[in-house]
This record gives sequence, C-alpha cells and structure tokens, in this order.
Amino acid sequence: MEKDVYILGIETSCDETSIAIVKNGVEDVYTCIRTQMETHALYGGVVPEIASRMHTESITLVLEDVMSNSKVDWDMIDAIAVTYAPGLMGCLLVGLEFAKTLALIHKKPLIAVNHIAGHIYANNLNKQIIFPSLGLVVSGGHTELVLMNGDYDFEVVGSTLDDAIGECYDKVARILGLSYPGGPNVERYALEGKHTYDLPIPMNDESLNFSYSGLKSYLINLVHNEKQRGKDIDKYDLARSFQDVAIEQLVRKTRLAIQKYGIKNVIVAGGVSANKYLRSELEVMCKDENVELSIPPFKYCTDNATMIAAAAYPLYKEKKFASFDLNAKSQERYFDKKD
Amino acid sequence: MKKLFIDTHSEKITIILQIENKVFRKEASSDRSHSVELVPALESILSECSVSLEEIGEIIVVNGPGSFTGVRLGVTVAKTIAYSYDIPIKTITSLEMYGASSTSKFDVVCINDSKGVYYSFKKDEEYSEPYYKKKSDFEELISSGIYKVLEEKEIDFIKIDAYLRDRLALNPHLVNPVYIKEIDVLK
Repeated sequence: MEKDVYILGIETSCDETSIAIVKNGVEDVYTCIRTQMETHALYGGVVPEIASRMHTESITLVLEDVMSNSKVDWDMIDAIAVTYAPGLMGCLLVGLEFAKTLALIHKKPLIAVNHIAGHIYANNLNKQIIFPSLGLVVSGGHTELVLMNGDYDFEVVGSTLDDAIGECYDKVARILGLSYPGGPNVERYALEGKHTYDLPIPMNDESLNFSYSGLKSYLINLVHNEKQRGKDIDKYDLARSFQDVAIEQLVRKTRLAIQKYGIKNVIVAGGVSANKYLRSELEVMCKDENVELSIPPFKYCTDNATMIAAAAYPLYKEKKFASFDLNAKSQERYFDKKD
Repeated sequence: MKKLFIDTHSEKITIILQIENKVFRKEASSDRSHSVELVPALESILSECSVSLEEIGEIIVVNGPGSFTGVRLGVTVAKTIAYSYDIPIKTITSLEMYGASSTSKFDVVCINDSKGVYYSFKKDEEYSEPYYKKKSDFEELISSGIYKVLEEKEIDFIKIDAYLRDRLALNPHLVNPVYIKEIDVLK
C-alpha cells in the first residue's frame, strides 16, 4: 500500500489568511481560515496594503490553530504548498515568504500553486475529477470553458472577450448602490426580485465565448435614463433580470461545449460557483444533457488553503518542486504551459 | 550563543549571524524584490556557517520604518522562525539600528523614502518613536541648525546587540512591522 501523503497548504492571495492540511489530495484533514471581510467592508472593497498587513499579523496564529488542532505533526507532512499567483502582490508575498521559511525550517519540498488551479482542484475534495472533464471557471478575473484531459492539462475552448462574470457582478452592485461584497449582494437582491427588465442577451451565437461588458453598459445607461426621467429603479427586479441573463449565458455556453466535445463530466470552479442560481441552473442543464456535474461545497468555493493543498498533490506526485527564489506574480494564467 | 539578525527595510537585505564572538554577514540587493533574495540569502549564510536554525538562541529583526513590503517579509520570516523553535525575538527600528551603530554625536537619525523622511530624535541613549514628514517639512525642521543629523548609515551588529541588551523579547505572534506613514484610504 502506498504511503499517505499529507500536504500543508497556504493561501494569502486576497483577504483570507488560510492554512490547511490535506491527505492524498482529496481529504480535508483540517482547515483554518481567518477572513478580513469585515475590515475591508469598512472601505467598500479590499484595500491591498491593509490586507497584506493583516496577513503578517495573523499568519503564525493561523498556523498555531492548525498544528494544535489537526492531530498532524511536522514529521507526517510531506510538502508545503503555497499560492504564488494570481492575486494581490503584497498579500501573495507574505504567504510565499512564510511558506519558504517553513520549508527551510522543516526541510520539506515547496510547491507553487496557481490560485485558479486551486479552485479547479477544490472539486477533488468533493469527488475526484474524472478525465476528460469540462471545467467552467468563473471568478472575479476568469470566465472560461476549459477541457481537462489530465492533471494540469488545460485547453481553453471558450473565454470572455471582455469582463469576467465576477467583475461584472461587482460592477452591477456598484450601479445598484449595493455594499461590499458586491457579487453576493446582487445575488441576495435577485432572490427577492422578478424578471421585469428586458435586457439584451450577450453572445447569442454558437461560439463558446462570453461577454459581459455590453450587459454592464446597458445597465449603466438604463439606470441613468430612468433617473433622468425621475423614475426609481427597482433594485430587486433589476438584480434578478441581470442575474437571469448573466447566468443563462454561462449555462447555454456550457451546454454547447458539452455537445461539441461529447463531454460526460462537468466541473465548476471559482468564487462565482458559490452562486446558488448558477448551481441550480447547471444541475438542471446537466441532468438534461445526461452528464455528471461536480461543484465544490460552498466552503471550498471562496478562498481557502484546502484547495491549494489539493491542487499541489498532482505536482507532488510529479516532483514539481519550487526553489527558494520563487517570486509571486500578480497575474499568471493557470492554463499556460510552464516548465 | 548564536544570534540571527535580519534587516529588510531598504533595498539592501542584511542578514547577520553571530556565533559566540564571531560575526558573519550576508548582504543581498533586493532589486525591488525582497522575496527572491531573502530566504536564499538566509539559507546560504546558515550553510556557510554550518548552523541550523534550531541552534539560534536569539533573533533580532528590524521592524521598520522603511519599505512596507520589505519590512513585512523580513518580519514574517523572523517571526515564523521564532515561533517554530520558540526562540526569543527582539525588534529594533531601522532608525535605532543606524543610531546604535554609530559612534558620532547626533540628535536626529533619519532615512528617506521617495516622498519624505522618517526620523527619530535621540536624547542621552534613548530614541523617540519614529515620525514621518514631507521632505520640505523635514528640511525646515533641521534648517535651524539646532539638530545635528546623523550622516552615516552603518550596521554594526556588536553595537546593536549591546544597545538591545535590556530590551525584552516578544511573543512571536505579536511581532509586527511599524509603518508610521498613513495609507491613503485611512486619511
């Protein structure tokens, strides 16, 4: 029998300080997440310098929680994995230096993990990804359909031509005057509204690409024009009308990709996968197409170190280790081939 | 006793290892990325001196003011080592460090950043908390000529260590940078 592999993951790319231990890339042994959300809510969004400061303040405390409650000791840990890209530079660097120091102290290999690859591998914490799979990657910086033929074998078959869906949700939140965090608030308002506004359907074609900037501009104009006429916007109904159109685009293009590539397994990844309407619409569509759908549980949809440790496991198997001169990168695409 | 000193407040990274009475020093130019240089520099001085981190009896880290990111990384590395091996850790400001390293007489020690000046007053052997002023305002402050400003920027570990003799070690969790300068969003 093969020896169990324990990987300690570290995630500090935005406003959560998180450390987790994952067994064999699939089992969450222990996860600690310290969120800074309440602090950033005071400023209406994540302030990078404040986020970086808070990571430095919290990081050893989070480690203490993990090492004292996980029943795992350093001898059992096989590798240290850390998010090195993409994210806020100052934030990534705190996690990265922390990870390097732990690797030096405990003489463990260091594994560099892309944050979005982490979101994709969060699916393994639910049910192991079956290849080939079609991934729908939806977050504040990504809207892609990606074919996965094996571990870290990504082929992008469709992507947004302008804004990412998460970015669009945040902008719509601003247009509607909703507070931070914008995306989840738009979803909350949409739940209580009716689809009464007639919005254009973006990318109403057979391609696998997406577009969100036209929809956003249409909403800006609509709100502006209604104001000029002295009319009030129904925020609930507009949020609902927007969400219906925005999510429908994701579901329709995912269906097209399933049909085009004869796919049997679909996975969803990224922060927007926490959207309940997206989850239920995808379930209906996948049932209709007779394909397996895997979406990570809610707790692994937002930022966490569990997914980073899970994503490190295939890299550990391949002995793809990083050296101590590894630098953080604010932008790096998970699907670019590297070596 | 073996002591480890880490300074990352400027573009020059300085790591010092004191083994009994001998002082070993490693410098690296960060070229705007402390992250690439810091841990490799630490690893190389340890291996050159055949010392392992668990043998360290005390850590001294410069907790600012200076480069926000630079200081944050030095402090993160230092507190992680101190926490992991339960090593006593002391902090010193960059201004105290330059002041304590000097033998000349002066009243004010300062360092510049792109827009202004961080400075501390020295009275007897004590330093004030660090302040920050725009360059022009700082020049006005010292134009009267009553304050003699320390010119040299040396790092002398033996003197720094002596200066910190009575300073209490901190709980590693509570070791954090001092930033002084307000960030825009808080103004």
